[in-house]
Amino acid sequence: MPKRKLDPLPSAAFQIMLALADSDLHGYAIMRQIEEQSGGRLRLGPGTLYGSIQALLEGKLIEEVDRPEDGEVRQERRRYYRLTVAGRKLARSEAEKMADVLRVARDRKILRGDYV
Amino acid sequence: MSEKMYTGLLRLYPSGFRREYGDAALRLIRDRFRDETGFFKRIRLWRDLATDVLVGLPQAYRNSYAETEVVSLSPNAEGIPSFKVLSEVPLRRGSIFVGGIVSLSAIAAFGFVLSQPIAYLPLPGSNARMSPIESVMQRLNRTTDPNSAVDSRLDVAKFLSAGAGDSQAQSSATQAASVSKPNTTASLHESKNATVELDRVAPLQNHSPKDHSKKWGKALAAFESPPQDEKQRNLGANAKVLADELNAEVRNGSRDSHTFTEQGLNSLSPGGATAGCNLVSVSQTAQPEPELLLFHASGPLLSYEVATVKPLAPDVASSVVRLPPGGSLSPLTIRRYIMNAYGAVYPPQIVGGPDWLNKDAYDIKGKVPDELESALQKMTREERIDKTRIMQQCLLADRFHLKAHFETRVLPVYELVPAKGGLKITEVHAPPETKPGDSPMRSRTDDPLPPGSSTTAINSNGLRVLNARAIKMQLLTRIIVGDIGDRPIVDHTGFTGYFDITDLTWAPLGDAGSTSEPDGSSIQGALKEKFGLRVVPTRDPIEVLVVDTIDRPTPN
Repeated sequence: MPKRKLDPLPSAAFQIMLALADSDLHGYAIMRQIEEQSGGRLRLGPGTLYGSIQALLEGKLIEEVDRPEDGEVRQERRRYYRLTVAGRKLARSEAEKMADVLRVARDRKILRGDYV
Repeated sequence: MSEKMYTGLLRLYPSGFRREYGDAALRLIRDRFRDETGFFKRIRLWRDLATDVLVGLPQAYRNSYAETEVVSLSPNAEGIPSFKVLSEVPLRRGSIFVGGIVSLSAIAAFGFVLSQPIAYLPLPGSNARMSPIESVMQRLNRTTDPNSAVDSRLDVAKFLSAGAGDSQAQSSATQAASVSKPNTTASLHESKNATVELDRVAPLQNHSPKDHSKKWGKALAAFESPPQDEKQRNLGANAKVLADELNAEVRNGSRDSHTFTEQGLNSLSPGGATAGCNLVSVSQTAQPEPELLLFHASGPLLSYEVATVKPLAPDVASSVVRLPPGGSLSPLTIRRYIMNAYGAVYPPQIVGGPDWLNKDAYDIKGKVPDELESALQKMTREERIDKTRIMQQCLLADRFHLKAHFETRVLPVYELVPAKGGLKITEVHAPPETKPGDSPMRSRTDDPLPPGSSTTAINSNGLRVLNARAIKMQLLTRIIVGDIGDRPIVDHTGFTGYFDITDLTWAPLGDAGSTSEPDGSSIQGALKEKFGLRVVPTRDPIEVLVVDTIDRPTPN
């Protein structure tokens, strides 16, 4: 993993990895998924989105996959991305760190139990 | 429209990013514009895009640089580290042209800046005092003329001799500088002052070893050309005696920084017809070239053989004359006497001193030595005035214990400059030289004015009328200044010759408006109409004499 780009893991990159955890998605679908999973609070623009995708690809945390369009004839081929094993491992590790932080926050009465 | 705008924004991203993700980014935007319709959603979309440019642009360039770093460090096929061309797109001709023009302009501008002389600007709070190095730099930046060249050598001598305080090197260096300058005494005054000043600042300097100072001092002395004639050689020898003596005193700390020994000064006087006196010193502060220069004593020091100073009754001093500008001043006061001795034209040029300088009146008479009297008969008028001033300065130093120094101060002045249409002055021949004892050139009032003289009268309408023959601009400024205002006048006309004045008429200051002449004009109007001259209020550096200490005169 290129140290200078993804260490520490940026929030946008983590969100992209979370979005790709269930299925392979193209750029616009990733953006919509992130918007949904963040409750509408985060909408990545094209620059941030593809900048992060570029860094994740170079870090081999995601990979580009060929995926036929679902019965729909399109003139422009969309590029789909998939989470790699290394990416999934890193995402889990990052999520665990966050869970630790949440646990501490709950112990210190900063967060109430219904959050997690 | 919106897509075109985003295409423009996309140009801000690195070429590698555009090549790889440009189409995908455009497609994403197209999708968003398709799905997010309505005013508020469009507002939100543009806000997102603006945020994206601010956040995503640095990230894209960071990725691009990281890529560059990785590639540039990679070895080539032979395993030797080498550079690689990262961009496959060649530079456009326009880019090469603009880059070339900008680079050449930057180089030309840099060269131009380096070729300019650097003006000395005293640091705020530095009290305008410059170090020896700064002083030398300022001198080197000046236009060279014979006097400034000598001054430069003197400064270099001071600087070199200051390195380790080596008295011998100091003496050699200051001698070398002073013997080539006719103004030997003044140079030695400067040398003495500089010695004291430099000793004071010496701990702050990065001293070179003593031997170096000595070596350089002698080298400078050898570099200087030897005296050209017998007189200069004599002055040089006298200068050396005095310089050695002064340096010895400085080392012993037995002398004040502004005084000389009488023996040392007498050694400079040919024939021994003079008595010693303590003249003023030259201030070593950072100063621009001043205007209205004062008289600096030079050559052999002269003094009256016998002088009497009699205090007069207090009411005598009230018989004042108007001295422009600066109000009224009795010609019998010591401030007026100091003005005469130092060639000050305006009272503001004498600064400081106790109040009695303006009040106490004295009758001062001096007897000139016989041989000097006969020598004065053979001199020009200017030379006689100079010798008299030296004797007056000596009297002030001896009897009034005057200690003072020259300074340059920026004061409010009036500047005499050509008007828009240019000067309307016709140059005439210089007046012939006169000697004491010559018969007066004008025995009757209706005779024509002799060259070099002027006359002012008040006509029946209360207007002042000036006539003059073959006078210089400086004399005109002194005549008219009382009717212009309360500031000295500096001549910036550039006219250095002689000219005549015929019936220059103006309303005296204070009387304007009360004159019966209906078309009475001010002096400013008269100057503009008659000579194409303009009077402009401004501030200029003026040389002044600052009185440090002075005592009431000693009994006869």
